[in-house]
Amino acid sequence: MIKPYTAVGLVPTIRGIRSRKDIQINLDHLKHLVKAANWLSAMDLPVRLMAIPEGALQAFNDEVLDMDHVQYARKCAIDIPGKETDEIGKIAREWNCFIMAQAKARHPDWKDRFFNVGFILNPKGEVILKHYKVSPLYPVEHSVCPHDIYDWWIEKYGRNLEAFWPVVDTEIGRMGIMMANEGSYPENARALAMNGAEIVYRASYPQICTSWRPIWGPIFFSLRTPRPLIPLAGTLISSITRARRSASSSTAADRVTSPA
Amino acid sequence: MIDVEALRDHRARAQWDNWMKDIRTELYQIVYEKPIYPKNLYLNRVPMKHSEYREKVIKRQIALMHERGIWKKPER
Repeated sequence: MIKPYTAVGLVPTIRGIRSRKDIQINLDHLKHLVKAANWLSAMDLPVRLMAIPEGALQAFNDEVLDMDHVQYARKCAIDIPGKETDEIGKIAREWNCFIMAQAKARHPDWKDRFFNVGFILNPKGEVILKHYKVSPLYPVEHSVCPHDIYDWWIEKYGRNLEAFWPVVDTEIGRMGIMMANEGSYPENARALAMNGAEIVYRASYPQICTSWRPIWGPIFFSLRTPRPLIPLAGTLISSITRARRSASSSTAADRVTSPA
Repeated sequence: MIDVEALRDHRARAQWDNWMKDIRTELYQIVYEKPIYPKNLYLNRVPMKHSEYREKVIKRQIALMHERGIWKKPER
């Protein structure tokens, strides 16, 4: 039986990167943030899962600055697993918890391309799931997605739920990932559920599309009156971590809070 | 107030949140390929009452989800 546990959703400050080495700044920040969040959140139940929001490693310069895809793939995209996920793996090992996160990442078979990839690490620091975002935020995000190379994708991975909405069985439940604009399509949530997901990482999305509103009318209101964009992570967000944010976040000169 | 022209204007101009133009139908077909809820339930009979429906439909549907491995059975 799976005993109840706490899941922590981190809300870090993120710094837009211009090269892969800049990611270390964001990783360092995450390591600091995790300490307070994990310590305080584990008072009642153990923290077995931490969610790091979309953009936490690289931010969104590829989108905001409309960067050249090939250049970004070469200079900024990571490999999963790779040195960055190894660093996150250290956090998983230190705190003995699963971690769900995201990065713009390369696929080993696709040179000069990057995808938007959600991934899960186990408490040993091993990558146990990769989810390639199936619904990028089209007007601004130009990550390649499986449907963009559909014929190749089904040839390699099959034409089934697992090929597009993978889940992984773990000691804390069966986990899957649904990032940002994927939530705009109810089919993605249903597909994950149909593939057996029990815990879903529901990553960052600009607020205009996440706040409650009646159908139609207020959409226009929201679009015309932009509010601060707050990155969110995970379906199981701990309000405690948000309170801790102000205490542990540093000021970022090149801050980007425009998740896709 | 219902402003249908605003809806039509939005659909004609918005890049982002008029999602229907971007549905990747090849993917979503996969989700519903296997039937789940029984069709034609009342083609040849009157609708059931609560207890019969619970036995013949609800329990069977839950069992189906477990048999397919979509849901895991609870341990408690």
